[in-house]
Amino acid sequence: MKCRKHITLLLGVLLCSQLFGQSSLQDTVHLQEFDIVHSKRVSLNTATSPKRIDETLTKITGVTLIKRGNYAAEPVFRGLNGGQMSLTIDGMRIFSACTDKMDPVSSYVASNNLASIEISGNDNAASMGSSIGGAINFNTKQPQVNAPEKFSGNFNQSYNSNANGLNSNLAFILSDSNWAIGINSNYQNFQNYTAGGGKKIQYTQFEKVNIAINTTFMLSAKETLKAQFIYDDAHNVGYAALPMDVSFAGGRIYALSYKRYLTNGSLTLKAYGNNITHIMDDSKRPDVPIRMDMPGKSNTYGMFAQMEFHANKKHHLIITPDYYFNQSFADMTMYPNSADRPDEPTMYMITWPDVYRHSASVDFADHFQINDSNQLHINAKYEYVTSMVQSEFGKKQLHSLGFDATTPSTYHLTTASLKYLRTINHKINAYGSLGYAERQPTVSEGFGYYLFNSQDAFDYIGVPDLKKERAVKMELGLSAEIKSIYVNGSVFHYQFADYVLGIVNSDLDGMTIGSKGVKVYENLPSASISGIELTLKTSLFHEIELKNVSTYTYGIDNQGAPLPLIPPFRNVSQFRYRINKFALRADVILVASQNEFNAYAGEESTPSYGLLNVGASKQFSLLKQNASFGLSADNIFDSYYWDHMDWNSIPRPGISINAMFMMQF
Amino acid sequence: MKLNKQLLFSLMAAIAIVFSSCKKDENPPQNTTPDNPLDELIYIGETSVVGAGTIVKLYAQEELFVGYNHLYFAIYDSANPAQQITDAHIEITPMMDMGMMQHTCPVEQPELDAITSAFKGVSVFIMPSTAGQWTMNAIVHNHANMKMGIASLPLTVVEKAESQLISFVSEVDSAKIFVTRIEPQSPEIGLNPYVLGVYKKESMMSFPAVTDINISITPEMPSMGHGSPNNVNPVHTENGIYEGQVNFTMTGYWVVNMDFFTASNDTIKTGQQFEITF
Repeated sequence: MKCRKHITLLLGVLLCSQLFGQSSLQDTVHLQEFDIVHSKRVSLNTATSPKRIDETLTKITGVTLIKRGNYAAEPVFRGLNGGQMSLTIDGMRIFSACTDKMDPVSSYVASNNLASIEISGNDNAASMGSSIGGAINFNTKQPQVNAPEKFSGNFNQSYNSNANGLNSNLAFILSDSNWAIGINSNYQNFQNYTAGGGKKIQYTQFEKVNIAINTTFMLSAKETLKAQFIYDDAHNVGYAALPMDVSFAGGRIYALSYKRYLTNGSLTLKAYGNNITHIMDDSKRPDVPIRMDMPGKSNTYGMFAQMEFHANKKHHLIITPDYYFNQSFADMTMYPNSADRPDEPTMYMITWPDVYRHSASVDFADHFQINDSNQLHINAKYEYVTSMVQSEFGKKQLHSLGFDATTPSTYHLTTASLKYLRTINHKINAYGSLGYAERQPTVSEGFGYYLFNSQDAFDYIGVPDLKKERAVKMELGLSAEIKSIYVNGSVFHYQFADYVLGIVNSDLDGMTIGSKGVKVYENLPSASISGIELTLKTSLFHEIELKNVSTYTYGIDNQGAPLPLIPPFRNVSQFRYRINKFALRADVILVASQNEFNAYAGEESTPSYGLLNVGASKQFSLLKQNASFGLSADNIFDSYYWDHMDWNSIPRPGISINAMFMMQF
Repeated sequence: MKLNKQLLFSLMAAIAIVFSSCKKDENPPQNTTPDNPLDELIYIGETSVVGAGTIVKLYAQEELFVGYNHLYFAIYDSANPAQQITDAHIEITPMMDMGMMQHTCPVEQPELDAITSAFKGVSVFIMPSTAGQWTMNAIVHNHANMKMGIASLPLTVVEKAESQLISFVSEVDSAKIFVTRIEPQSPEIGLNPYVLGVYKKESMMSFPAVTDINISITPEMPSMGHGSPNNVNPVHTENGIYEGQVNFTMTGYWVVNMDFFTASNDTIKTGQQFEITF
């Protein structure tokens, strides 16, 4: 929910000011893709142009966004979303507090506080808490102990003309010989934006504050202790695609971790907690049939140990036992307004019945360097998850629908993958991977009670004894450098069994006013998602860089009907020109129409669109400090468009001019 | 969780043991006198029944109301008022005096209740005391002395904020039908028993149970415009009592719509309702 726009990358700089000098102004988010390694790490070089987290995420190949307003877009990776992806911050499990998916975990960070984003697709590698579709882990910036400069920092201010949006960042790092502290603050305030053609889109405003504090202590030459705290508050967040807005969404994320370097590896112990509060209401809407409050909360506490060993030169083992506990509760109060019954009491129900979920898992990974040109990545994980409804009220609700929530819902989940990488010559690499993964249903899928989805206008009901979703995942990839052209391509296929989807139950009537009926989660016998990703990159005269990324995803259910939330073909071209301290950029985004839509899920065919974004920036010295100024224009042709997965076809912003000033000290 | 609970329990048990052992001597002696079950009820009034040599005390579960009232007639020996008499028989006839006319109402005759040692019966008051004077008349046979007398006790019957009783004229035979809501009295979220009592006015002095009709129910939340699934239409059990189930999917103001049909599915009356708020 929160973090959507412009998160400035300011603090990035926290890490070390040296980076600054190197990082060129031109590229707002520098993508270093280790595509060949299948799990990607996108490094966010501190850059000049402040970006919001949503914009940052879209730079990752395979990631598209579901938008419901101008805040907290939900990332979708290769058509996988929600409970299929595991989103973590520094390995910490965090679960959204909104029953309507309005606060993906990415909304509780600011991109200026991120050092990198790790994505693991089907090899389940690298990340904590992988799910059936893989994982996205947001790594925050860690202050460097004994940095060259004892005190450093940066300031970054940007302005967005379209939404009258301010995005401010201020970051400091204090570094001593055996400790360091980094404080990173971000403030965003955006008004309603205007879509292409000039139409003001009501309920797209938001305001957000994010403060992150990271501290590192060197306990000895081989031991570090880190403490971190993230404070994130969003207020007055409009959700144009929904009948409700969010008056407050807050995250409090805290952790303590200890790391010891051993002769042949390291040991990390981490304990963490987070408290997410999400207050949804419709107090800003003038005309609603009935006023409602829908607060939700999600509290998670966990710990993990990560042991890394270089058993010998060939084996790099990582063993990770992990435990977390999550409590999810949400309810709904409705305020009747009948003139005939002025004394009618409020109506009340519990939508997430205080679900306590415990998960214990152990993950084993081995990077096996067979020889100079052959590698094998082996990964296996076992997880035990048990969920229990604590609310008696909630149990009675589910009982009234014929479900028994008096005993725990328990799942044994096994995940395994094997990836073979081969370096054919120093310019050509190839890989193939085969994986198997399982996931438990989300709290909504297992226990949700009349959760309204405004995209398809159905109320959703969870099923406590839903089966786990399973998938076999295959991927082949090749990267090659042919003359000065770098080519990277991959094809993937995910074959699901017991795919979880809401199915209309005509015996049940909708609860929400305007609802078309009720969908109950079921396991579809099978479904599949396939896709292809292709990247071409080249440099000319050292000053010009051209990059073109194409992605296509295709998903069908057991009857051959299209799956919902499948992005259409997308092609992004980037042009970068850099000379001395001046940089120019232009991005062309072409998105095909999507006619493979799932009407059952409320989708419609979506027309194609094209966007042109341009920008320029200049680095200079100010008060003997590095500074830069940038100007950019997004959607320069003022296209009226929306993306296929955006709810209720809410148009995205039209032309906007952005100005940015950044200074480091 | 389970483990946590177990831990917690063992911890609490340990603490309890420590504390109890410390305080052993301070423990007051346990009160061994059982509470009088009648004290749990509402005292309505009493009268002496001279002919039977008894005193009759009337208790109810709550203040008497228009609808289905459980009544408890506790009979005591006049000579020894602490002595509750169980070897007896009682037959009740509630009467409403409206000045111009008098009538009774549906009843279930009292029978001995093991818990309270009182005689438990039912009176379905069909109007409040504002319409006239309710009197509870009861013939008491004291089997101990083989004597009989008549108790007569004035009653106050109120109308609840949400009606517990409806009446209508049958479209089949023009009989006046009374339907009272027996359950739920304390509605809660989810499935609730939905129990109705159905009676017919044969004469001013006869309100027999109706035992052979079909009832269909449809709950509705008027402010939201939705109903609920998994309701069970009430079916007859005995004494005019029909038992089914109603599902309240959220708290608030509900209306339970009811249609009544004969056994051969002729319409007796449709569009009747009880309002239930919780």
